[in-house]
Amino acid sequence: MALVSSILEKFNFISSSLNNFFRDKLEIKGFPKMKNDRWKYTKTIDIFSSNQERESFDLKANLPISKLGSYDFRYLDDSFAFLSLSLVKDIDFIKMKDEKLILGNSLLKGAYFKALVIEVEGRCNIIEKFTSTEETMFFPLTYIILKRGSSLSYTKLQEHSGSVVDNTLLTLEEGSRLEMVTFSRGSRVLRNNLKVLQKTNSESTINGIYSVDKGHLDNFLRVEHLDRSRSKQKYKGIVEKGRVSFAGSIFIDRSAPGTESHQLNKTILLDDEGEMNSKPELEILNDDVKCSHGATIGSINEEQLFYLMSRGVTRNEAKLMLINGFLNDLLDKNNREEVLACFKR
Amino acid sequence: MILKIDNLIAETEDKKILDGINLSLERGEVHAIMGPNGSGKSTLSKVIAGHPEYIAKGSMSMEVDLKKRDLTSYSPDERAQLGVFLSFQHPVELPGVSNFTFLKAIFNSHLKKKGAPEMDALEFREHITPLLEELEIDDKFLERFVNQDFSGGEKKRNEALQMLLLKPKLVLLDEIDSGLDIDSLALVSKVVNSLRGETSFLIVTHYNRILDYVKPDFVHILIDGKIVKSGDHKLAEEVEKRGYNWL
Repeated sequence: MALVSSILEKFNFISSSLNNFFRDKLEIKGFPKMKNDRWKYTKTIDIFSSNQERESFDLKANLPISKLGSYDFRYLDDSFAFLSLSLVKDIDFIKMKDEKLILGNSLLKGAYFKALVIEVEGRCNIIEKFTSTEETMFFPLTYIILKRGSSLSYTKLQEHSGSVVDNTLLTLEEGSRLEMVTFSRGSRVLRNNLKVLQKTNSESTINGIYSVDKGHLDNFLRVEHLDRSRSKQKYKGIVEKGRVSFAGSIFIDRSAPGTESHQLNKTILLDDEGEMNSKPELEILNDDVKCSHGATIGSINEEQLFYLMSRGVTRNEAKLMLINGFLNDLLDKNNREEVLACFKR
Repeated sequence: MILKIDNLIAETEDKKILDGINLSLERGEVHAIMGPNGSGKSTLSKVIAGHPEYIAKGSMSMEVDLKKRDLTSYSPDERAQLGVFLSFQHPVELPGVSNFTFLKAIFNSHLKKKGAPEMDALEFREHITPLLEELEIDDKFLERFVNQDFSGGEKKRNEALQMLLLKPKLVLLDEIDSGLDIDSLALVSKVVNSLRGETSFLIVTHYNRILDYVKPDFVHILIDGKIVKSGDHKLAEEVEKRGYNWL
């Protein structure tokens, strides 16, 4: 409680009934403690340790539309989502139907909060790209509702240097389809909370690609099958230096027999100084499911490197070719260009 | 002289595999290295190509553009640029890397080294098409991942395709005839014979099979890391009849 107050004191607090509602929730819940297993690799203190000066905090919520509507925030349970909601002036609201949306910004110095609700109908495509400097703190909350029968391709490109806790909540209504890929690089602190809730006959493909040569990346993913539905989660990445973790949690409710859920996390460690932690977590409340998970951590295969080099390709080029091959199955026509462009930098 | 090897010793961390090899190849010559399992034949070809698993001592020099180069000071990719080509006994699978991407990349790496403009996808497709026809390889083959789910014959044809593409000066064929169907063997041999004259070959083989198609100028018998006997193609026939025990 004391920590919550001392942190909130640093921000230019704008009081509204909405803000107060979430501020109360935050005060009750508090920020994640050291002993919280789901926050084992990201410490609250590290997130807030960069900007100690009160004056460097500046609220920059740029919100054109104000509409809370009847959106159900009961699925939100993260402290940093509450923090955003207790500080934003308004919640952005976007209704999409058969269209493409490009979201994003370069974030410079200061603290940024964002709360965005998107309602998707028909076939939509969202490309989100945020970059931040080291002097940035960023707490975005994105809540996307896939309406009945809709489909969404969602590409999230993260090139951060600051302290970021990214909360993304997706609810998949009956028969909707999600194809999502997140591309991340290491940051001072980057924690992704991705939560996907699936209703009857919905389908999700949730992929992640990471390329980390410094800093910290903590991917936390939770898929909840509330009714019979299907999901595939595949996270792959390259870690050279820095500290990376992946925790994939699958929940299949009693009310969701016939559900299929598969999860895979594969990492190539390029250097002894890189650290990778991978942890699956399954919570299955009925017997009639198909569920699998797996994780591998390895290095670049020397025989493959030698094969390429014996044809005249330099060691570095050979590595890049093998990395592209490793990531190949996660790239498609919607995201290949943008992801590979990030990768080359 | 394209390749000259003097007193070559090759070791892994705990084992000496080649124990003083001497060998000379003139331009355009075909040499066969025969020997029982575990004699060090495959190691010899890998060491010449620069496989990192082995520690090599002794001298290996290659003549390129009338200049003698000490191969031991070159990395595997630099050796390939000098004109060394190793055809693998077990060609390595590269999941996620299409054969087209692979072939284009290896070809362009040589163009780049020469300072020539690299080929784009369209130009390269035009360039590779007649080579595919020569080896009776289907077009779809280019879209598959390198060597993944290839039959034994397809893998070796893919090696021969790379040989045709890169036009190396020195080709090391490591057991090209193992796991090869008769049609593929005939095609691969045709490629070898077509390059013969310009290119020198070191054919490492357990059997006589490929030597029925490609007649070697010299045959060397390798046992326990040493060349114990050298001769012409008649030596291969003798080994075929009598095995290795008399040596």
